[in-house]
Amino acid sequence: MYYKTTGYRIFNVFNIALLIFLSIMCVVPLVHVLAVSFSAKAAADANLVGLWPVQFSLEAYKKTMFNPIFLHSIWISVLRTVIGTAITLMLTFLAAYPLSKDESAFRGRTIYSWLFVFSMVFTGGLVPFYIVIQKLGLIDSFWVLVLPGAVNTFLVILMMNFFRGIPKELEEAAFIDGAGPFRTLFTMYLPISMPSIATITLFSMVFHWNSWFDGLLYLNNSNQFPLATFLQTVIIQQDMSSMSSSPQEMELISQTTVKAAQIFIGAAPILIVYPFLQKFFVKGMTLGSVKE
Amino acid sequence: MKTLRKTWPFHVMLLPSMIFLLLFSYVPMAGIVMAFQDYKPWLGFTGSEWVGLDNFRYLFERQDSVQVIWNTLIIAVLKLVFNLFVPFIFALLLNEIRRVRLQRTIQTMVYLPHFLSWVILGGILIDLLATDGFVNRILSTFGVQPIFFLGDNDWFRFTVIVSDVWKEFGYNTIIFLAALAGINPALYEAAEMDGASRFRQTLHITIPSIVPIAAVVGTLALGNVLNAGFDQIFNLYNPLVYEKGDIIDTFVYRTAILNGEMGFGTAIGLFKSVISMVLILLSYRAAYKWANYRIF
Amino acid sequence: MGIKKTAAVLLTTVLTAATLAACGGGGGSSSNSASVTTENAYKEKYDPPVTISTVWGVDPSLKFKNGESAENNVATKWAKDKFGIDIKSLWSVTDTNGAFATKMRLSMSSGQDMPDVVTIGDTDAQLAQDLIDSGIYSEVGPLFDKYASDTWKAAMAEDPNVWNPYIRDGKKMGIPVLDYAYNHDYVLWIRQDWLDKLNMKAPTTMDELEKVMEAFKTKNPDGLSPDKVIPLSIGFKNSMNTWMGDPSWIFGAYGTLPQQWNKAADGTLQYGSIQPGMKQGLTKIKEWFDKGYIPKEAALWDENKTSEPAVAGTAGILPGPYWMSGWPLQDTVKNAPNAVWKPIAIPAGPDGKAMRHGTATTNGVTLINKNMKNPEAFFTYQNYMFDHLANPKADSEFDNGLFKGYDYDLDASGKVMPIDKIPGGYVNSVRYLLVRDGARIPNAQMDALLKLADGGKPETRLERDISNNYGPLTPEAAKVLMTQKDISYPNMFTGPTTQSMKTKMDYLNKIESQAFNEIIYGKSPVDSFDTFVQTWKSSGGDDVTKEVNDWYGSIQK
Repeated sequence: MYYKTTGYRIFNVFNIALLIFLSIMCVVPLVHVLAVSFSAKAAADANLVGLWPVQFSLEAYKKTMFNPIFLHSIWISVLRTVIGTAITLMLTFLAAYPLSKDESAFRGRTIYSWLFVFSMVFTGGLVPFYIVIQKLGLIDSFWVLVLPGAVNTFLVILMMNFFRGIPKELEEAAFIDGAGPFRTLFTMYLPISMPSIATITLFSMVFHWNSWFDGLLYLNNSNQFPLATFLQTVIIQQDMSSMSSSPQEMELISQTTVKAAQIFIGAAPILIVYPFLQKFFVKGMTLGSVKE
Repeated sequence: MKTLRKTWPFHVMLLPSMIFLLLFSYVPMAGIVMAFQDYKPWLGFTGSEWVGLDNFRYLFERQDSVQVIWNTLIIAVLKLVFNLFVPFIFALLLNEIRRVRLQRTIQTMVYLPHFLSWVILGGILIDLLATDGFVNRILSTFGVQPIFFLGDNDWFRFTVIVSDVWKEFGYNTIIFLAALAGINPALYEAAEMDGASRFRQTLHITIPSIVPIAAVVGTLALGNVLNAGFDQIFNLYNPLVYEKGDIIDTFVYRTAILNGEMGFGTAIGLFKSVISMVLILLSYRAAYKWANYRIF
Repeated sequence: MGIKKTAAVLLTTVLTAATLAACGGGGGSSSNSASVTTENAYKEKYDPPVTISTVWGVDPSLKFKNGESAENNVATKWAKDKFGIDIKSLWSVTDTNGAFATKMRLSMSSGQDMPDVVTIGDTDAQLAQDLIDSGIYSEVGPLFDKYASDTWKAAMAEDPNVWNPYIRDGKKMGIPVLDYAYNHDYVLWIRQDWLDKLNMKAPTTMDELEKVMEAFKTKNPDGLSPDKVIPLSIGFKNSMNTWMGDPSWIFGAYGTLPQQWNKAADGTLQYGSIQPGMKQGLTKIKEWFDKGYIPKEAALWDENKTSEPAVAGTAGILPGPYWMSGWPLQDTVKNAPNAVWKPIAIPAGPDGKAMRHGTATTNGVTLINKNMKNPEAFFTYQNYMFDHLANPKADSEFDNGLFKGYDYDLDASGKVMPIDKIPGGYVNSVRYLLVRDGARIPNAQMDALLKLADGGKPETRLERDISNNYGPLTPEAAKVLMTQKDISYPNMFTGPTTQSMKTKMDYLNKIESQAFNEIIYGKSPVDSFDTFVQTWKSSGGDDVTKEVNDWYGSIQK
């Protein structure tokens, strides 16, 4: 076997060392945020915290945990992520299949796919978009977080390309058995596309979890903000120069440790999701099903 | 008609997406007219004054127009290239790790920075890259003179690109990992029988299998060819590096967004879209012509 | 039908007016209450209630408690009970990333109802000007003259310049929102414990300042090594004319203030950044940079960043507002136990000259819709704020604060408790009021502070608020601030963005910051300042200057 050769073993050692080094580099900022969240406020405000808490304190977490608006925003985010991803997944799955056909098998697919790409490249900007949202009665509605971004061209085209990798013979066999396109899609394509579906799911979830601008602009009540919007209102650097500021106000705005705690808690759910989805990336999964 | 009888389920499958696109994409596209107007919110699309190409003229007639567009293009293209190649290679390397737990742990760790916003990372980078900061202290042990990464025109773009790749490569790797998972193991088994080295296997099986996905990702990324990353630049740039770091988006932010010049903002958007569209078209044609592959 | 309805409403109004007049004085507001006008329209209380519609840009830091919101809270209920004014919220938005201005423009674009009354902060000055241009909002001058109370009028008269930004063709189109005078003026905060240990006195001139900085750096009393000390913490990332970590006073020592319009000897306005004094100032800053007196990364540092070394105990001097002992400097002792910060005056330059950028006494504007049915109701509300909230005498309704259980609370013995002990938490309910910050009388804050600084006991609400919440050294700092009030120079151009500014100013600002930072960092010789000035003038700066002076001329009339 190849991995028993000396050359490969040497490569393997260097490879592992390199990748571990890169991983550590990637964790550093998050560790810093975590350390700040567990530090005393004075040390954090003075930027004295590195990768380890200074004067360990749970104050920030106490404040965060007793903030009902913060907790509620996590719930809204979970809701939008689950519902939004479900809708996106369904739409993407349905649209990608016909697009993956050749023009000879499905006349018009090329027009459709350009319609998708065109919509990705050109936008009318915020003003007409807002007017549409308003006319549809979506202002201040939960659905404004979910519906406008439901179709994501990038995901559709990605899915389509994954579908293309599935051998044609399979589908032909299904057709001969008398299955129509819908049945073929759901009984045959679905089970063997798990790695790609996991990818699409992850991208869609991350998109929903991180989106903040829609919440800010289309929701009136800040108590209903999703987490990302809530965090945006907290961590943004404000231009205090033209505010009628006072020490109390600055104190409220500059809660370095609380911000860090909120950033960390806010990222945790989506971070946990990933390892869970990883099991769909197992090698040969596609083929295992195909062989049957 | 005959074909329609056979393909109607395909149209039905696409219908929901098309409704969404129509509502949230094509109807609002009517707003592109603003690019040719001195748009005033209280006058609306119908009442605002038509100014022809004035909005575009303003973009090109500033003394620093060329500089800003050039900066944008360089930063965006380099980011595009590296954000494609680094994850590609990283995925290949990760694929070589045979211990599943280690592989997954590394995968999860490199994906973390994607979830920190540039506001936070910007603050961290300013400290890490300070002339007496962590990175320079390490470099100085190798006898390197302190480098002013964020305040030196020779280094700023480099810093921006490296830090962006560092933030995103783990996340961008996911697509390639999914593609790798789809490769038929029988191919490797056959190659093994022929006594092909791992390097040859990678060269002849692995890479060809994931190149199509890379082409798709690369082509779609062209849609962002004039987006050099507003959040990042805005948090990192400073007067010392305007010359190499000011991009279209920061410029639009200062002139259009802050002043509510919506017509001008739309005009810039349209300009960027047209360039992107042309490039996507070229890349689509090229892939079809040379590789006989329809990217979408 | 329409006429009948109107008639009915009119009749009720007249009847209620009569009833109210009959029991006038029964309301109990005995002090110098709103000037009772002869018009029937203006009332102390409206019955049936009248509606004022508005929109809210909610500060991200503003909290709500008891399930309240911007639309519906203790302040709106109070207005309803007290004045019969129904405050109807059309929408609200958490104002971050310019969301308020964006939403305002979007709602205008989509033809939604525009609010009767809207207050727009200085950060959205351009929006305010656009709204005035839109023709949706009415002239307010006559309304103000007719309905505003004496207290409010007097407050407005303290600084005649406050109307300037909102004058169009001689008409007053918006009511300025008053702010405390000198609120953003700054002093230098210095480590007194270091001075004491070094046996030095607070510097009063630039030369003395340099000696102090040298001593802080090389003979640091806390034993910090020279490369760890930042004798003067300033930053230029956003501007050379800012608030915390501000460097503009250094130029002030040479007779100019950058990034603002100053009055020249001939009475015209001139742009501070192109004056000869800048060159000397830049030379000085460059020298300090080379000697390590200012942060090496000053070009990358924004305002907040400049406070970090100060709080860490490694900075010797931090320029900033007079209230900084309340925030952020109060935490320094936790990192450097011996630290003592003291406010000192801005040192004078070689010719004995000193300048600092001044504070405008307004921080926004209130606009009144042309179609508003009862503009007088707004004055009923706001007059009350000026009479009873702004600087109330000891027996006012708001003696302890605005709303009990929100921004203050009393303990069992009836004493005001510290704000962090309020059950359910402190909320800054002043921000729930129709006009941001309720009502502020420009000089009231400084008057109160000076009284406290001279050993006066806190008696009024304002005085108690300051002494409880503004940091221990704030009165002292205010006193320092006021000894130099003659060197405070606010930006004299407050008008709408001119045509050339729209197209040229961003570029001019860009080449300016670029030129200055490159000189300080030694990438260009100091003489490149002269080239910059030439470029500035020829790239549109001369046009801008002309337009600014045209505006200034039109205001002088």
